[in-house]
Amino acid sequence: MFTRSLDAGAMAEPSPIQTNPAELLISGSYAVDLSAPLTEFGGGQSCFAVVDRMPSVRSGVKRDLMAVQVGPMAPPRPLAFTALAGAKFDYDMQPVAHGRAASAGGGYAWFVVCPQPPGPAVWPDAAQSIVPWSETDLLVHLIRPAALLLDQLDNVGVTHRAIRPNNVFRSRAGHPVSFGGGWSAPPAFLQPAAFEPPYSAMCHRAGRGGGSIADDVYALGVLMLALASGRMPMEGLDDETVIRRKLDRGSFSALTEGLRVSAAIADLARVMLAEDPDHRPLPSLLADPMAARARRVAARPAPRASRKLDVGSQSVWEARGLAAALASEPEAAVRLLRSQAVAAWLRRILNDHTAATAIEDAVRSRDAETSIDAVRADGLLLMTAVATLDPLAPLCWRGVALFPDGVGPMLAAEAANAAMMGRLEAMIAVEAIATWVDLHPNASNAAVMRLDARQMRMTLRIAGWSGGMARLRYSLNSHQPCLSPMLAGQCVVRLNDLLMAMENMVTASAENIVDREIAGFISARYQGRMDDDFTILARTEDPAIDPPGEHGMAQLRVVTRLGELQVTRAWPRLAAHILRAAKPGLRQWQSRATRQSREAALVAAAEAGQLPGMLMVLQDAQGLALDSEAAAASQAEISGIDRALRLLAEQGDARAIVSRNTGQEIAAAFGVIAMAASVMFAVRG
Amino acid sequence: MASKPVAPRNPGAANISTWLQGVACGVLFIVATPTAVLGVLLLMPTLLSFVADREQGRAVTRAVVLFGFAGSCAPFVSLWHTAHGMEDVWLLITDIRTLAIAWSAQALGWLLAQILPFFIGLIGEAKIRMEIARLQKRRDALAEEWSSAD
Repeated sequence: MFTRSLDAGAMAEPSPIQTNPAELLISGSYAVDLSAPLTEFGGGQSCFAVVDRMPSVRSGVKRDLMAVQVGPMAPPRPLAFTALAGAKFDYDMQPVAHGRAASAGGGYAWFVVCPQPPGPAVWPDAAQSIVPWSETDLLVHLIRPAALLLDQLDNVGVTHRAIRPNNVFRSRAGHPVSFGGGWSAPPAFLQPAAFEPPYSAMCHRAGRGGGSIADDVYALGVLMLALASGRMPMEGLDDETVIRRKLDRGSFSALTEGLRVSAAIADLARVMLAEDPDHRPLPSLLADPMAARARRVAARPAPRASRKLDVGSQSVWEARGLAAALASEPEAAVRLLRSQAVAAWLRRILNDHTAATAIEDAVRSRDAETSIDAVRADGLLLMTAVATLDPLAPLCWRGVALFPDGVGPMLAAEAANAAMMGRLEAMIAVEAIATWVDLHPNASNAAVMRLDARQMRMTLRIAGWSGGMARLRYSLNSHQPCLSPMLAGQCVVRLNDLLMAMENMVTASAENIVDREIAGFISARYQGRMDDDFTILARTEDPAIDPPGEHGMAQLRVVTRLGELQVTRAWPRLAAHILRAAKPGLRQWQSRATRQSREAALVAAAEAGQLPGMLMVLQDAQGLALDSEAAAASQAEISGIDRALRLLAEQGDARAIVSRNTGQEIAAAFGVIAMAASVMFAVRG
Repeated sequence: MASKPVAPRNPGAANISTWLQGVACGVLFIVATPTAVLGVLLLMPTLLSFVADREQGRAVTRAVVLFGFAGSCAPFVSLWHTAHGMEDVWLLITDIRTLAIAWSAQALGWLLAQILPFFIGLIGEAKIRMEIARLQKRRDALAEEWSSAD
């Protein structure tokens, strides 16, 4: 549809023909018009009109463009961009470009540019109810276009995960809908709990993962119910209640409670809202709604216990409810599991011997576990118990629920939450994902997930600022802006933008221009290695131990290497800041004259903003070797002088004796001369 | 200059030497009494210096005796050109110039033996001080160049 493909690589460079030099264009042609917000088109995200500065280049686009602003801690889905860009698609809101531009807050933000929807959302945000859609309208103008889109997405391996009433649009009644993008935030990030299957709804909203196309079918089913009835299903209920009701009664029963829909729509919704994603119709089947409707869900109702089990504040009657309760009440759950109360309830009350035996085995393994600390062992036990009781459940780790591919967005969304970061770190450290995958042998990409779990743990184990959670955050989220406080509002996503942002934001009061977040960002994005420098920077500088100016030198090396990636070569503010920190590094030269000459050269390079020049002045191994040799020679000379002075002082008496003897010998010589002269005169008369 | 009393290295040899010198002096007095008397009178300061000089090698006495011989040479030659009698000795020593020259020469020898070491010491010390100053200056320059303080 569009001649221009996605090109994130060219976005940050200003276009040579742009009208406003200060304007940062996305992909060199799209300007975000912050004065024209499009509040009804963003699907819950900020959205602005876009002005195309190069309209002649773009052809075939019939609608105006808009830019959806990406949240600073909710990275977009670059894999989806790539998949969509490379596919021939009949999708009228396919993203055109994405990149960095000025935001309304005064700084910068990441934007996804796509065509504006053909009309308003099918369910405006403020609406309590709408006029119900007819059955024909639903089947022809909602289900069929949705089936077509989801089938195309499924073919390129992408899920939409943003099918909700405020993200589906149409120009007017009687026209097919258009689906807004789900690419400018993590999968299902903005989905209400009612529009997600219970196993996804119970996840942290950033950790829901890509899921499967069946999850989009589920959301489409809920949307269909809402439009068919004119009322929002499960409206006014909090997420926890929504999830519990869906687990207790089944999704279809819970969602249709109090709604009036036709039998045909109800039948179709029943299969689309099947608890097991494998039981939901494929998008290709949905293209023929009558055939999909005829499909019967063969799932049996879950066995219900005759007596409840209390888990913390919750009472449960069946296995999936028990799994959800264990996941949400981790402390009480571990106590119950380790006391074998859960296994006893499963065996005696629910009569599920298989699950009871599995839980007993897990508890025994936990009791025998000595290689990891008790808290992590309890976490593994809880995760195993939940996965055993509900194979559809996400990975539940000490009160956090997420799918393995949601770890990256979780690390971004909860970066400021130290407690959550601690739990995620423990989960990664014990490779809980690999254990979870082992409990799901039919998982489609088990080997990849195991490898990912191992790589995440290895990254976490890297010492210093090169590893840890910060690096993992950026490794797993290629479009996550750097979260360093120093770069607040700069939206640095690409490594090439980092140095310019640092140049703009560096302040005189900043102690270090490279902090843990920046180090993690660079480690994740930079192809070379800066581990040694980040190890130095991770240490608190101790003047008694560390060489002078070591931190400053490390910072200088880091920014110089980053500068090699840039066209611009002068960084005066950075250079001025680093000059202060790196100047003590001159003390590594022992010669005062060398220090003074190099200081002059360093200051000159700093004033010119030449980082490589500064590094050349400070980091000169050959010069240092010569200086050391000269210092050693000088020290030897000083020692020789000291010896000579000491000798001269000690030889005072000896010199006095020599002087006296010499004087006396001279006197004697005079005497001999006088005597000879006297004899000669006497003999001659 | 303070002279150091020196103990004879070989007391036996010193006694023999002294004995031989005494014998020689005795023989001289017996064989050539006028010459011996004139020598004793003219070289009286040398004898005093010999007694007073306790330094090893008696360097001062050596200078004194050399200058003494230089100052006494003419009277001895005059004595030997006469009849070599005691009257001639008397005539010579009553000439005040004879004693004055001989004793002045010995005094000059003593004086040179005293002041020449002093002056030579002064010159040597001056050279050493200059050398020390040069070394110290070089050392200060090196220390300043290679000190860690800016």
